[in-house]
Amino acid sequence: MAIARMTKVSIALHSSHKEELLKHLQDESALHITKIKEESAENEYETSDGERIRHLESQLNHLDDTRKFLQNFIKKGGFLEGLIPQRVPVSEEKFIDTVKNFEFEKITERIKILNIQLSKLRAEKDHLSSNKEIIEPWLGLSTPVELLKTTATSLVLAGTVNKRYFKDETVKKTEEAGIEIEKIDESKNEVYLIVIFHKSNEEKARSFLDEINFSVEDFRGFEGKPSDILREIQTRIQMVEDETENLIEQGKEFVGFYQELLIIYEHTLNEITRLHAIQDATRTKTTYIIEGWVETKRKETLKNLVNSYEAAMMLDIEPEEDEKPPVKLVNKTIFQPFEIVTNLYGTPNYKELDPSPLLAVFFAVFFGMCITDAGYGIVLALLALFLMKKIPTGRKFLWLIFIGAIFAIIEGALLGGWFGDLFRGSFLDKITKEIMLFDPMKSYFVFYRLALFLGCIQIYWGLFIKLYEYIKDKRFTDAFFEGIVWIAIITSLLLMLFSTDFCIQLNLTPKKLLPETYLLPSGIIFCVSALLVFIFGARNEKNPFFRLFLGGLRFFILGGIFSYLGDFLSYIRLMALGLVTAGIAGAINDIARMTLGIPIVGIVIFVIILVCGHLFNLGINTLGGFVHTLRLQYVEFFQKFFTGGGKTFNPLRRNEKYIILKEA
Amino acid sequence: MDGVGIAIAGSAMAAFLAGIGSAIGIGIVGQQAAGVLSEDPEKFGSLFILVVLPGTQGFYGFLASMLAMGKITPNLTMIDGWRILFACLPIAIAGFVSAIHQGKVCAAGANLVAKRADQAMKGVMYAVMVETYAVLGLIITIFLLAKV
Repeated sequence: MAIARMTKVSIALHSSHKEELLKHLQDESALHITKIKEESAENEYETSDGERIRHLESQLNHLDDTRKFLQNFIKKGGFLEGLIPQRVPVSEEKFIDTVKNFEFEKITERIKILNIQLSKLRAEKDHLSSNKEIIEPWLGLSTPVELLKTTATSLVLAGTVNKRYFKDETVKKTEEAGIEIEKIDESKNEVYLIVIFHKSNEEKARSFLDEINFSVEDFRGFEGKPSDILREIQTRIQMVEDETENLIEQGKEFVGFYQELLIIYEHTLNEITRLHAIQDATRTKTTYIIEGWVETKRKETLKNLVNSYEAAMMLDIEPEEDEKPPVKLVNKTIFQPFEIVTNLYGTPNYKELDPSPLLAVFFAVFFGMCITDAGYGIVLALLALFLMKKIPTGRKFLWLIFIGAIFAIIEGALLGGWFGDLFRGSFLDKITKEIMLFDPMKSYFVFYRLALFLGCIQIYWGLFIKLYEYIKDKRFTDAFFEGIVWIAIITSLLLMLFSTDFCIQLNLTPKKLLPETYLLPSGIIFCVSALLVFIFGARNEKNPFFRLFLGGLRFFILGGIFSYLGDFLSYIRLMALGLVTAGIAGAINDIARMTLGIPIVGIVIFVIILVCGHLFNLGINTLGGFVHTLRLQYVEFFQKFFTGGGKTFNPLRRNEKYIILKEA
Repeated sequence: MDGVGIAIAGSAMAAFLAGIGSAIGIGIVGQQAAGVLSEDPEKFGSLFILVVLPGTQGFYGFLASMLAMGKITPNLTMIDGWRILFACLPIAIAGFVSAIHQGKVCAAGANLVAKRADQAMKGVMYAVMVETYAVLGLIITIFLLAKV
């Protein structure tokens, strides 16, 4: 229904057209190129392309470094820009002009050198900082550090001792060991000391120093008094910082060319993409042959394009036997946003139905139900419309949210949610009560039944889609045993449930829906269907006992009645999420109302709490509603019929990493 | 101790146990996400969803706590107090445990984002699987409170 028909084509071209035709194909973005299986593994003609690719890739790296360098000086966007990377819109003329005339090498070279210089300066600063750390504790020392060395008769050492080992009696003990000691300073954990002892006493002194864990400080490379050294280090750090600043200022000058650099980046990337694409082709000395898939309805356009070249032509070819066409989803505009839901899960295979339009209504209704607040729906819808202007790339997703928000408004109005119970006691209360069907905060069980009922519809819908797919594929046996039998089992179980008191115990209905006469016939249908699943559930198994065992397994567990039970119950989450929104909104209103008692500032606090609280609640519930609604589609709905495993249609096309071409 | 005290204990437990669980869960995924972010700041969007996911249990607990509060009247009997307390337990405990485990699944999801940013939503789906049981706990708490 909504998966595009594909035709396999082969394009032969003379190598003189290569550049231009490929570029044309890339702009057209209609051909999904497939790799041609080479007979001979080696191809002597590939080298020149390979070199070009390597050259372009290194150019791309330089451009990317430049981009990263300059990015720091671009004015930062708000939270939103951080959330979704923005692409710069550029007009076609600007793009072509930049590619032709902009001399980017000068800039990338300059930035490359700047980057090297900056990293040198960084290293130097690190070195200076670590020297600073060494010298700082010794500021109390008034002798130049080069004098701390062995003289003819004695040894002079500077070093630290951990405070744990340095007690009051230590000084006395040290002097007893024949060591002169001077305390220079102390920090939180360490004591900084100068010790002097006579050479004749060295052995004894050293062993004593080891005992108190004296660790010698090495001042090699330093000269002068510590205070002078520190001053010098500080001057040099200042110089390094100034120089860094200066270099960054130089780099900043190129910020004005940021957009041009992005264009060149994109242009380079486009060429690399083309060259990679042509590597999938077969080639002789003068010709290339490209194979690929094109959407059947765009085939003629593509053919005309190729035929406009003198030495190029396009032919339809037969796909290989086990070859599967790539999959592109094509839907009516209204259903397009829902393709996001399908794509997030995976690509359907070429032969099955595109689930996007099939899940659309359910998705919107469920999403709305998780929010169930008309006020929130309005805010969300406006927000989505506003963001569509700001983020053109996220438009499809925002439409999805917008449609969901519209349903939230409808469902919220029906269930009386307007920013929780914000209008309670005001004149609006009467109007909202008029439209309200029931209050979910009071009648939990009505909400609960509604959630289950909607779930029931979606599960049946999934089963019928599966049945349809079997019939469409002419797999009638499967259609009967996997489709009809299961529909019979679920239906008979439901009929039995509603004709006994059990449904009242489960709070499914206030009173019995069906007379007991339904019990017997539906029981018989159930038993017969169950038997069929037992016997034919594993039709392909030869061993009869194993076949019965597998059939039983199938009946109970493998997509059997217990998984259906789980599926039904899973839909109760809709009710829980709806209640969470309403409940927390009510709590926010209650808290806000408490502040109204405070004179003068009360009203200000009231408004602040309302605005912040409701925005927060809206955010958290939109997220929750979205992911839980997705789960219901994927786990409960898709499992009924979706196979997937298709390859996404990925035509040769322009990259749109940082920029996006404006429509003229 | 009269019924009010016991009921307050129940209401408080729903809020703080589920809240602690969410805090731990977000703590786990938050650290992981910050690590991934240090490599690639552009992944903030996908990581953001993963980081806030374990936060929902705290809100479920908060809601249950508010609902329980609505049941507290000055002359609540001892028995009703206990009823309220026990009714609060499903979301309190299921919320507490599931939020921590969801945090771990989300942290794994953050690793997934680090390597394959386009697959982020699949990590989110796994995390939602864990959350299901907190949702079920909340539903039962709501129903039980309705019966008190």
